[in-house]
Amino acid sequence: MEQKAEWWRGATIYQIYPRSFMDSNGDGIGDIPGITSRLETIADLGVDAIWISPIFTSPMADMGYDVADYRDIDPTFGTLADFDAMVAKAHSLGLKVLIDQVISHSSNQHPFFIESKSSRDNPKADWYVWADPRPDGSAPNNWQAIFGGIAWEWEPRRKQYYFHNFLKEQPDLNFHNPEVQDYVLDVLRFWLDRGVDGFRLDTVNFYFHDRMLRDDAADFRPEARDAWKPYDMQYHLFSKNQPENLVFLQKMRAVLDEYDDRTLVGEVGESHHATQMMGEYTSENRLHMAYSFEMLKFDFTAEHFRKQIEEFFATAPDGWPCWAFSNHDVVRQVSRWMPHADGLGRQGAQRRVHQRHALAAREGASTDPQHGQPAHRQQRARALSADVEAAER
Amino acid sequence: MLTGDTLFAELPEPLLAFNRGGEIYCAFNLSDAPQQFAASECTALVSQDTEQVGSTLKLGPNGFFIGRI
Repeated sequence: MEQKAEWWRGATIYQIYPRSFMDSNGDGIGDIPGITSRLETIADLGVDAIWISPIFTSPMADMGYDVADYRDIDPTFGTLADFDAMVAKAHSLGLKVLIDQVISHSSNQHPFFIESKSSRDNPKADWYVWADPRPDGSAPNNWQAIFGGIAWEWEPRRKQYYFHNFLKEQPDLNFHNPEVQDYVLDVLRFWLDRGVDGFRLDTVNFYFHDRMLRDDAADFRPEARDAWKPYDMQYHLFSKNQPENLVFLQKMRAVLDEYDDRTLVGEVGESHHATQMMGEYTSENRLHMAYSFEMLKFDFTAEHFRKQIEEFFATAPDGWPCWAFSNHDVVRQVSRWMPHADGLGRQGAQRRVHQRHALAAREGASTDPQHGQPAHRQQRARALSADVEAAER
Repeated sequence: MLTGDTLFAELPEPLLAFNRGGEIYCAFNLSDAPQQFAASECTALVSQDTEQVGSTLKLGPNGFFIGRI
């Protein structure tokens, strides 16, 4: 039973981006029945699990990473009945199902935010991050939004600013409020009760902000002077990465542990301490796995790969990395590594992809490399892992 | 694959090699040029464009070797 309970160790996770994966009704947009219709093909690849990017009710300001109802499916993608059928089919094929949870922020169309912004004394008034302006009317501090501009938007009814790490249509939920924490934990239970095997946690290190709203520092690294957006000129000591998160992740884990064989994989968006943070987040009964953007970069040297792996296990000998080499946020790996394959062209780059999958399989890690790659490439990559496993038995 | 420490070999770029749990040896040529170097003899499990000659391991462009120590 112990081995079964830890199916996620060394698992190959296949990411599905629903919008572009498979359109079942001819409206030009992929949907859940489309996913269901192709699960046998995915199972044939030999992967252990699928991770489905957001399918929840959303105005799609950020392609579903702006959720307006955490307990329903966006009509673009189908219905809860479609979802249940998809999960049942996946399980019948031996596939685990992970779904995205985008809980650091909601959509500005979420009823909670509509209520929260209406006054300073409504029941949801403290569910988002509200702050008074400075005396000159400017924003409370220097925090920047990742997608550009400052991280604060003015709301005239409250005569206050609200905080958004991403788009202004994505207000940050206030995780310092215990009611928000409890709500989020109940959302997890809702989907666990429907049979999902776990969650990919979007922006897992952004849940908490500094209560004192202190200014972020200037990034001391030389490359920050040459950044193309102000966000990358700052060292984000206060707008994210707060110690309160370490406690909340244990609360999330406790919910998962109410069920059998479930898993949490967190996305760590951080440029200074990503690998160490992956280690902290996967230790002491927090997340099962975490990934950062360190293996999603253009870096392709032995020194780089070795540094990430050694840093991770130095921080967290008992932690578990999920080395992600490709996903919806970055240029695909065949394109990224093409410059290193002069003389071999595209075939050479693909050989590098095979090599990376072999590395992940050997390194003692889970991997989610296979977002939308042509099937023959996925099959080759997985066949390598399968070959090794068969040879070892 | 799921247990054991990772011990990296001291090799120059573009070579990445390590052993896992003292049982599995892995070597990767991260370049588009052939490489060769001294490596412990072990039984090949899976490889790509690789040749073992005694204690010399030859990795072709993008080649890799995974073997049991």
